[in-house]
Amino acid sequence: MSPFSTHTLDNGLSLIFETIPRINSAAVGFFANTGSRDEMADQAGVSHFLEHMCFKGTAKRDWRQLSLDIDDLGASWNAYTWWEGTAYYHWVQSERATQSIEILADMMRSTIPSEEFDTEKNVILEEIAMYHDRPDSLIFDELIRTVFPDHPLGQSVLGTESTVGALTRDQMVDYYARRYAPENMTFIATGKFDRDEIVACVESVCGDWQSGEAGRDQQEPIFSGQTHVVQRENVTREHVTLAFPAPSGANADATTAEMLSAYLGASTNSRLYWAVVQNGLADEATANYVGLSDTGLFYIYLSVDPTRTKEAIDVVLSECQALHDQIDDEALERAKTKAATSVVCSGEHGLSRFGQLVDDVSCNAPLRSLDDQIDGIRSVDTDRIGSYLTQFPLTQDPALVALGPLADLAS
Amino acid sequence: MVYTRRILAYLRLSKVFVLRGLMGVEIVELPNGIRIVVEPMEGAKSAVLAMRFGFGAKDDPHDRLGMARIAEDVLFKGTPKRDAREVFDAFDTLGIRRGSSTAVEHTQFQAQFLPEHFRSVCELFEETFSTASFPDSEVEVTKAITLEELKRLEDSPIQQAMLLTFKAALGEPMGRVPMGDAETLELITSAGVRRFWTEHCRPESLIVSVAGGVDHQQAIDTIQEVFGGWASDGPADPDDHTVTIVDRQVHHVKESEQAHIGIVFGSVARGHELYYPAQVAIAVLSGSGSSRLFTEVREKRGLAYSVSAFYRARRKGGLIALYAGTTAERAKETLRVCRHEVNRLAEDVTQEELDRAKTVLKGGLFTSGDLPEGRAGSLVEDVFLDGNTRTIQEIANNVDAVTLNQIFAYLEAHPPHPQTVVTLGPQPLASDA
Repeated sequence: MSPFSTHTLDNGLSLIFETIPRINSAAVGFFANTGSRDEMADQAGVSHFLEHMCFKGTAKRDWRQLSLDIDDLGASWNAYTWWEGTAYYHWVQSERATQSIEILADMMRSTIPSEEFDTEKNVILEEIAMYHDRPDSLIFDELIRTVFPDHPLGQSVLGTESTVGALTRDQMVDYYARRYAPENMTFIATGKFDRDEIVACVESVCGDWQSGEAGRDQQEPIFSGQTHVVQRENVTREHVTLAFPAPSGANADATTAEMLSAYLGASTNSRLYWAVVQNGLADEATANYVGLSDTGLFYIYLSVDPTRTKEAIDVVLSECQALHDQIDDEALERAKTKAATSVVCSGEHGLSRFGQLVDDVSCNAPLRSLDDQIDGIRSVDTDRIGSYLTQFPLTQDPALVALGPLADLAS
Repeated sequence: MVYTRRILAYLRLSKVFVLRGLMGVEIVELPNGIRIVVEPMEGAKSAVLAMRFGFGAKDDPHDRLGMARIAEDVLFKGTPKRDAREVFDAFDTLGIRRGSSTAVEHTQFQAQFLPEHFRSVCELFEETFSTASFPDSEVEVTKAITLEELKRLEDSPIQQAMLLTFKAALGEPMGRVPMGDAETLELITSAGVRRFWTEHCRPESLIVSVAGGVDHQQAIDTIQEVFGGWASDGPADPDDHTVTIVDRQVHHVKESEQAHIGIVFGSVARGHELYYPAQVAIAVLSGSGSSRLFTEVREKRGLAYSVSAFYRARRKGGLIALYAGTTAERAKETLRVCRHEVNRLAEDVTQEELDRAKTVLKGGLFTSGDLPEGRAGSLVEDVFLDGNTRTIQEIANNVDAVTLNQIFAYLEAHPPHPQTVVTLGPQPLASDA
């Protein structure tokens, strides 16, 4: 039996429910289908800044009242913005879910108070500065920019000091009005709750949201396999990413890409773990797959001694090549079993299911239950990987981005 | 020495002591001294096993800092039955999510898995604990990786700032960095690691907790069958160090974008009568959107993105640490506001703030606190810190019982002095900030 059910309000807002047995809490929240890829280049960072402003005041509550009311529920709460979307959630005891929904819905109609705008801008500028001190995060901004140079997907989620610095409240208000239309948003509840009660609650607090035009009309992002070296002398390690094209998150082979990345570069007992980390070449060498709505990336991250960067990259490339020659069946089975255990564990965790559904919705993928996820993992075999590698080879020139003391990767 | 423990084994299996049955979750002690806590969770599809030994970086020989952490890592790099890859494969074949960590006072191993694998998980850990061979080559590789990790720390200034703060505040040995340092790592040998492990891996020092989809008695029986054979070595070492914080201010120059500020001052231990008032007081200060630090530093003034204070327990004490990251020109003001908020706490906590802080603390208990990993971790920590365990409901009741007068009594008896302030960034801050 499917654990899911859905509902749509007259104004176009979609509702998704997943009941999870055993747990006594609920994760509730909104996903807005708008992120950094929906921003004009000179307004980069507006989605994320707006996410912060949603906590700064509504017609009913000022920022102080919002924090007091949220904390009076004892909710674990947060919000996050990425390339494709923005999500807001509360994780609460089930009996308080409707109160949480009322507050979250109120926040989705923030007044973006002008008197708070500049103070919060400073907080964002501090957040940008913080990421500048974290090269292992910063490098992903450089990577996506290199991979999609002529597409809004290549823009930084946080924006830059200059785009955020120059952003005006009017620009944000305009973006907000267009992008937070109910048709472009989804309400999600996971865990334990009374569905009828939640539907009635969402109807009463979101039913009067005005429909609008949102959508996303963009050309398909084209992968660019360039090399880009960012020299930063105050960075100690060389941080390196190699990326290859990969299917979108809705593609049937998204799970194949995930399993291949675990086989190649899970943080322990993978090909890269033994060939790179355990050979003392890097303190981290991991592979990952990220699925987006219309494309995907298969990438490898390395943190290496700058003097051994080229050597480490060469080992990674030969490990990628080796995948085309042979896949060890037993090692693949182990990676699958581990992934399946992780899925089972995530099923006890209301919030991690919420995050999974946000991912599915943002990729326009069918909602995947725990059983669907496990079936997907089980269906990956060496044949499946073989045909994946024919379609998305890991032998062609990857996008290669390095950030650290090196000026180039010649030696 | 550890090898022979298994032979003495099965004679001792019969006597099992229930240490506590009236309050909290029952603690069962095996004749060899291993303490076990099991919390079955109805309907849970996974189980978590947490095992904590009472040794850590504090036990590193002073000229071999980093020893405990090297041992924790190389432990999985081979036994007489399996080489390194085979050990990893054995865990992975069962789909076990395994983790381990070395702290100053303890070393912990943890695994999450499907309940049907419980016995195999216990057996795999037992095999590594009691027969790990610590091969020469693997010790050398781990030393090399640890050196790399120490360099990586330079690129993670938040973590670096906090480690430097604890080091400055607590000194030797409680402020140690478990990774050690380049000079002392160099001196570590496989013979030394083997000796260290044999000396410290003792049943009296081991606490085992299990939470999730397991049966209480079956879990205890399994642990007893697998680990009951370890011979007792006599009472655990009474080497608990107290927490003594130094009044000082230190600056480390770093060409970073932000200035990273760490502050540490003393608090009470887990078993202290003012432990819960201390927790509520800290929750007034930090940990939620309406808390004082978030409100004053971030919401009102926009000085920082990241600012928080948190409690850390030690066996013989507790401490409160604060972190704030801000660009250099605003660092002095940020430090001033943080210190002002810490000092102001003793003057004017209101009933409304008290009630809200309790709600926030209890909220966390019934969400993330109610997962198998959350419970296994809390239980093992409970036994480690004061030999007692508490159910979620008991913690909630204790939080509820805190009064405003108790908060003020706590803050008066445990003021935020002496205090260590460490800054990491381009410029030093004036010491009178």
